[in-house]
Amino acid sequence: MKYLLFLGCVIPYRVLSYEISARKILAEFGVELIDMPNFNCCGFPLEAINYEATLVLAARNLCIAEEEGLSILALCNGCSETLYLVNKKLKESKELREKVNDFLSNIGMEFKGKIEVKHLARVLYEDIGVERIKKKVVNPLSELVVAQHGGCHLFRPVKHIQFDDPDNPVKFKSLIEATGAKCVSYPDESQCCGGPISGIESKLALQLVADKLKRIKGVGAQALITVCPYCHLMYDSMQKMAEREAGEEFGIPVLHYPQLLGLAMGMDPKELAIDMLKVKATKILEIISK
Amino acid sequence: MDELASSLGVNVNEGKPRRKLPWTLMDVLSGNKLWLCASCFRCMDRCPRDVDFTEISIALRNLAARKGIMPEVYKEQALTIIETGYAFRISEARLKLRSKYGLPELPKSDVEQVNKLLDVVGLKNMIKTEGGK
Repeated sequence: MKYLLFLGCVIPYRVLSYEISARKILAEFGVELIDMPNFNCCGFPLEAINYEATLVLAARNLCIAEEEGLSILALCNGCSETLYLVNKKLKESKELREKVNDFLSNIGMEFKGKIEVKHLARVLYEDIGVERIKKKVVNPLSELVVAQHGGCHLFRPVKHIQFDDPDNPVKFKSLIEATGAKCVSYPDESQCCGGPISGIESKLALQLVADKLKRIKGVGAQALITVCPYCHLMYDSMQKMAEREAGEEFGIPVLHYPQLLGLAMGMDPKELAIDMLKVKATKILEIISK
Repeated sequence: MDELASSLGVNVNEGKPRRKLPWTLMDVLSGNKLWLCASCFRCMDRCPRDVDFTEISIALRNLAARKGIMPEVYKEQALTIIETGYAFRISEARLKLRSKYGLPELPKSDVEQVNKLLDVVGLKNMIKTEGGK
């Protein structure tokens, strides 16, 4: 199995721990990753001010993948959703394709619609499968209780993405439970992390973060599991600020799914860059080493 | 709280979606509430009549931006993409950290191609005329 890895910007900017752990576990399942050469921003950040800019930025990345003859694996929800939707729209609409190809002709590229775009969680669930994952688990995390935050763009818009139910993502939860951990439900699981509005009204974004962490704590989860660098930034890096905002301590470590799986596969926490997390995972490391 | 960042209608009316509809177009475009839509698609997924609200929210924000109304943070991010091809300025320290952890070098983006594309779709012009650097 071979994919073109689309790293995006948030991961190299601030969330290396996700990339480190994702590469580690994918290698164990024989997924070969080729890093996409001279890629650019996926286009998502410009969607609100100039949608055509999103179309051309995404399309350029898609053209590079076509030239490489490989489908894209993206780690970030924003990137995977944007590339997936633009790929789908350009494949389905001749009119839009012609318009975008007209723009692309300025740099000598043409969208042909030859590849697919997949989020990491989808590759894990659809290509590798829960059963194969279970077979690699040597250290079941059966004492651990976690909650999931797959994040909006892993699932939405449902009619286009068609992967899992955002309010009760049974596929994503089965990936989590494959590690032996218990994945508990909590009220309003599909509430947004607030990332896209953190630069506009940071207070409101922090309220959203606090809101979710409060509910997760309320159902007794010891950690939160994410598969998006932006969601992770909000819940991990911003947790201290959210605590200040809410006047309450949460102390919930936020693990990237590949870190959780890596631990269950017996990998060393250091190898999975667990020490790079802002909210220290000391307590859960103790629980699972018992 | 529940819907604060996920519903345009609720945002514009401080939690009371039925309070004072309809607004004028300029009310909607010039207020900052429009920018509190997180593009989470939740309203779109929940609409029983299959209305693509998020797409409408994007269209409205595009319209506002074309009139020169957009939060500073968007201009900054657009400028970063114009200058580097990436949405964030990735520091030397981060790049060094990559090699420390055995990660492959981050490829340089093709800034020239990115600029040509952002020019033909009018983004560069939008940022320049709106007081960008």
